[in-house]
Order: sequence, then C-alpha cells, then structure tokens
Amino acid sequence: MSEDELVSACRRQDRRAQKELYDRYNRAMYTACYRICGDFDLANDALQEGFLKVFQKLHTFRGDSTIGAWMKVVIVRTALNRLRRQPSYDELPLNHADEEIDWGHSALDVEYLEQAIQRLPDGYRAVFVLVEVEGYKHQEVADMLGITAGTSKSQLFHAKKKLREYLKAYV
Amino acid sequence: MKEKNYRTLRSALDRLPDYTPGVKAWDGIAGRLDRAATQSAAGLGERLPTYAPPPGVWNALSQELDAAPRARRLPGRWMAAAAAAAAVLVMAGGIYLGYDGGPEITYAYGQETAPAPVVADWDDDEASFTRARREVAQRNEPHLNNLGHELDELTLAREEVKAMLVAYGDDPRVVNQLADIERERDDVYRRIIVEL
Repeated sequence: MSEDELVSACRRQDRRAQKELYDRYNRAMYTACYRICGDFDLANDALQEGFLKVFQKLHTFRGDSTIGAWMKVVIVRTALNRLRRQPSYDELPLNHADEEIDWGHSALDVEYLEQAIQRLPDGYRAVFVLVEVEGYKHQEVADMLGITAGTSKSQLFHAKKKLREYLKAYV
Repeated sequence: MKEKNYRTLRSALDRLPDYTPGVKAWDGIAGRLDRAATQSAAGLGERLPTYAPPPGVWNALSQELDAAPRARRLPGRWMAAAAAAAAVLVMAGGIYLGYDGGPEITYAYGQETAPAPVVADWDDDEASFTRARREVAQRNEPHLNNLGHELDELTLAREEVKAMLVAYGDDPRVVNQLADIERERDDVYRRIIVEL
C-alpha cells in the first residue's frame, strides 16, 4: 500500500491502516521522543498521545511534506509538552566568538554520547536533539518551541559546550 | 563560536541507536482510539462539549430577582376578613355621608429601558478564545507559545471541518471530528488559562 493510500485509509478510521502507519514509523518516533524526554516512560506516554493526535488530526495533513515529516512535528511537539518541567529557553549571551569546542580526533563512544545527551538540561537537550540529531533548522526549532532562531542557536552552543564537558569526564 | 573536528561528533551522532517501543504501546493507542470511537457513537448531545456559564450570569440574575417587587401573600382567611370589613365600612360611610363620587385618581407611569447586559454571554466563548490567544502572543513565553500554536492548528482544523460540513452535509463522521476538535480546543484553552 502506498503512503497516499495508507493516509486515505487512516482518514477513514481503518484500524488496520492505522496499525500499518504505526508499524512503519513507531521506531523513529519513539527514538525521537526518548531523546527529547530523556526517559523511556515519558517517551512511551508521548508516543501514545502523539500517535493519537496524528490519527485525529490527519484530515489537516495537506501533503506539503511527507507524512513522516508531518507526523514527526506532531509527535515531537507532544514530547516537548510532556517534559515534566517546562524548560526555560532564555536567550543566553552568545558573545563567545573566541570560544572553541574541539571534539577531538578520536571516535566518540556512542554509549557515552547517548548518556551525555540525556544528562543535558531539558532545554539544551531539546534544541540539541532537534538540530543535530533530527536535522531541523534553527527557524523550524524556533517555531516549534516558540522561541527565536537566535535563542535556538545560543541554546545549541551551550548544549554543545556542556556535552563536551560531560564527554571529557567519561574519557 | 568555533567548532573543531565537528566530524567526530557527526560520526558518533550518526551511529546513535534507535529504540523500539514496547508492544503495549500500540494496545494503548488502539484502546484510546476505540474509546474515542465509542464516544462518537453516542448521541450528538452527549458528544458535544458542555459549557459552564460565566459566574456573572447568576450574579446579574440574582440582582434582578432582588430588585423585583415582592408581592406579599396574605393568608386567605385574613384577606377574606379584611375584604368583608372594608365592604362594611364603605357601605356605612356611603349611607352616612350620602353619595360622593370620590377623589379623582390619576396614575403616573414612566418607561424605563433595560440596562445593557453587563455579563458575558455564552456566545462570547469565541471572543474569550481570541482574548486568550492575544494574551499568549503578548506574553511570548515558550510553553504558552506552544499551546498557542496548538490552539491555532485546532482552530484551522475546525474551520476546515466546518467547511466540509457545509459542502457535504451532516456526515456523522465529520460531525464526530468536529466534536473531537472542539473538545481538544477546550482542553488547550483550559491549559492556557491555567498558565495565564
């Protein structure tokens, strides 16, 4: 079944089509939820609530993007709302032109990196994951979080700085 | 900010693992979809949201009731006795004084216009949504902005579904969708009010 057919069937509340759509995307969505929430239980709740919203709002999908990209925005927004403590995304001064983050030449241990990402404060982690892992642009992140692109950039800088510190501690 | 050896980070990020949700995750979603469908099968009256009137409605109503003149109700027996006594006095007076046309009675009356309602009407709900949205924009706080975006999306979805209803008639599934959207809008609106 093509994606268009699948979407049409889901709009008709066809449960098998809904399950098919879930099966195709649950892994990517759950991973994104986990990285944003930093907690598997919270990610599970966000995934369920997010997919429910997807099925209920599917009639608003206009086909401007792929269904996967549209779903991810809905589910990522749900995950951001699920964060227990709403992080503050204050714009921090970005006058660090002379500061340098050096990731080094030796390969980073993926397990440590995952742990370090989870240790980041909620606001930093959300921006880092959205930009560096999920590939959203700063303006898109800004729209999603209701902040400015400048704030998104400064949050990312501070997230990376902290991440580097954490990773040094692991080595 | 300078970033050296970004490739090292990029390469590690590309190797981050994916995670699979537990098998119960779908059961949870299917259960909630079933519940939503069951609710949709109920009568339209039960599915549509209910709204509490603004407290001002009762306050104004209460004031109106207090201002209205109260008719004193006398017990029937006393009223009969009073009427009989009055009749006897009138007859006796008439006989004693002879016929008298009595004083000329005039009635004066004025016409008052009802004051403009000072309480919010049920129909003002949409206005309160708009007010809340405006306040969210003024506050410009991340969490509120997220809720504001959700409200915008739901408002847009509602308009689209309404247009569908106009175009295709009262299809029960579309009516269900409209009710779901209204419920969600209410929920988001309540969350905004709590945050504000």
